[in-house]
Amino acid sequence: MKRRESQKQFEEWVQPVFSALRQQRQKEAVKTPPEVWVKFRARLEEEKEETGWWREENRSLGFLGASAVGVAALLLVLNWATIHQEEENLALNNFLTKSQYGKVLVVF
Amino acid sequence: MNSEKAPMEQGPRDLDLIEAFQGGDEKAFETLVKRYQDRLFNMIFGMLRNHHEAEDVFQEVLIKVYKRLKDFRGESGFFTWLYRVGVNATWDHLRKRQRRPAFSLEAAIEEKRLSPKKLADKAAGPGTKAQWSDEVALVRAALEELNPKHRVILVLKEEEGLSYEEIARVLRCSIGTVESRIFRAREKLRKKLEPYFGVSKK
Repeated sequence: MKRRESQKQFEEWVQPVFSALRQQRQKEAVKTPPEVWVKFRARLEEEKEETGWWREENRSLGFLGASAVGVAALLLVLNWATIHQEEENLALNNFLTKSQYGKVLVVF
Repeated sequence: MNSEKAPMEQGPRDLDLIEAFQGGDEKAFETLVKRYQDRLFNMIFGMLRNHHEAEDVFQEVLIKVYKRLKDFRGESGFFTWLYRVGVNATWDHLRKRQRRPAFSLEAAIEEKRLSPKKLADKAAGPGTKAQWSDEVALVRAALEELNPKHRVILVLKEEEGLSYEEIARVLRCSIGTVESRIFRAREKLRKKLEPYFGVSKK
């Protein structure tokens, strides 16, 4: 009962205080200091240099690219081996003919 | 987040700017964040009550947003997402400095020479409620002494004026959780301020 009374009194007291607080906050509203952007740019550069998280990302992209090239090269080598093994069935069984392979190799 | 409270988008849409940034346009990042920076900065400052610390946390938020914006999928509005990153960073900062509050209730009472009797006399006097400055100082100091979880939620509700739904979206929890957390936070605040309210009625 005592607690409930205290809660009631508190709510009656604190509500106008909270609205005064809100009004004060609106009056006090500040503009973001422009120098935070200058510091941000500097810090971003620093982080890129020091932690290498940016390079890490680029490195992963590079790794993906290198893997794709590697797989393509492996397929070409396998195909080349098959061409030599089964010269008779060349045109039917392989996804590249000997002449096509030559062209791809040049492009590659 | 309530569109009335979020600053209006002018020029390109947020999503267009995000796509531009994801495509490598670095300038799009600043254009986007600058739309909301004052609201964000004021929220951080309101929680910390210290300009220098607010700047540091704001920087932290910029770095986090910059790094994570590449993965932003637009599941919530950009402003809500930005605000959430800001609230979480401020929360982390408050947790770290928990043991050394910037203001204490005791110091505020001493500085303003407040006493339950003084507040009671003030409340009984004519037109004395116009300023509320003593009470505001008292509540601010008491908020400062709450743990970060309770403090953040009360500031969002009472100072920032966010609705329960908005707080739930920012904190990624249910409205029920928000309600119970606010109830508990108010209880803590009530206990801290018990000697200073209600006395006017006696």
